[in-house]
Amino acid sequence: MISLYLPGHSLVHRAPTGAKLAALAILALALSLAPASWWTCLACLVLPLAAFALAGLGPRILLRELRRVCLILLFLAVTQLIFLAPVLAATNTLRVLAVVLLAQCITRTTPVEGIVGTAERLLRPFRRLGARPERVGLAMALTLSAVGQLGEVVRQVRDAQRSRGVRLAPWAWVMPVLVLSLRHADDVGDALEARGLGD
Amino acid sequence: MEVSHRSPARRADAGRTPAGGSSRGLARIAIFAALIAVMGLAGPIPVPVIPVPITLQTLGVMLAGAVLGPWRGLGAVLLFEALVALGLPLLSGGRGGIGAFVAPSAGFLLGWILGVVVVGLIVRAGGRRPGWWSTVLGAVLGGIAAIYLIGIPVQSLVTGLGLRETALASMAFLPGDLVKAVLAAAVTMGLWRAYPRAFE
Repeated sequence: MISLYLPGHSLVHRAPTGAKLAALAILALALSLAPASWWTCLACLVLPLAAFALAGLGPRILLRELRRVCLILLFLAVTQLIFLAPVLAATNTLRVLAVVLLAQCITRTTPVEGIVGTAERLLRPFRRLGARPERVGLAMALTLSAVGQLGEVVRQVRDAQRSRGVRLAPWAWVMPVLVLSLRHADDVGDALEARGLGD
Repeated sequence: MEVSHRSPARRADAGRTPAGGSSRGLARIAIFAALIAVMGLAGPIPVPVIPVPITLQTLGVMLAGAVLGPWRGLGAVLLFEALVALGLPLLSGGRGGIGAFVAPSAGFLLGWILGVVVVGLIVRAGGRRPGWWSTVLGAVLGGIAAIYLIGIPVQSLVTGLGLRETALASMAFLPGDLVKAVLAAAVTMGLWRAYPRAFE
């Protein structure tokens, strides 16, 4: 399982995660309170560019992030232009672009390799309320390993269906994969129980 | 996030219940979270007549509620979304990270949390055995109505476009979601025949 994190030594990489999240919240609030104008539009373009430059994330990463949101932005821009004035439509669309890019700047610069450990650490304060961080960590580890395995199962089932030469609906694999994975889940559950890891 | 739904007192005598104790529950929650991810990785499917291609990810949410019931289904959705927020590209189209939770569609992700519980409550209202109509009803009310109920106002708030206009634009997804609701019922009934233990 590949995470979106890109290692680096920039100022943004070294900043504590809490500070980065606080900065995002402040910038997002400022951008949404700013009046609709071409100046705000400009700020919406400059801010994420500055953040990406400061984080040492190259234009290739920026393009990849842009490609992920471009369809949504296009849809947004078109529907806004139908109902609103151009300045309003542009500000609203670019505001969304800016906040998403700023958020992705955090995701790209914050390591999640110890994702399970991170989650357990985040949940530790809630232990007093009845949360059990180690069970959540175990569930996360199980999910991450299952994503790879199930992806492989989906490929196999689709190949098997295709090789029979029948033209099936594009979701015909859902049913067999569901049965296989729930059976797998029961095996995993029994294995956990047998090792005393269930409780 | 509370994963265990069994009190310690009950667990003592529940060592060999049909559900196999809480570890099977935990494993099912984890595997279903992975299933929701895999359904997104499979990519969008173009459907004739319907304007926007459908992704199977919300089908995964509907199935989580129908098969696992409201609380374990909720666990699967929360687990999936926690992994997305922590930076894994598990949403359809390889999206992920905190960006997904501030984007215009963030409300739909939050809507999944309510939706999966509604699906589970409706489908399980008549006992463990799912019925055709209750599953379709659950998928439509939980998997569509509840998700739109949170998704559309949040999208309107984020984009600054009026509520009515946002709702109108969202109608493009309704036909695909209705197809998924029927599909969810068909798969649930099929699973009941093929592997009834899944509903225990």
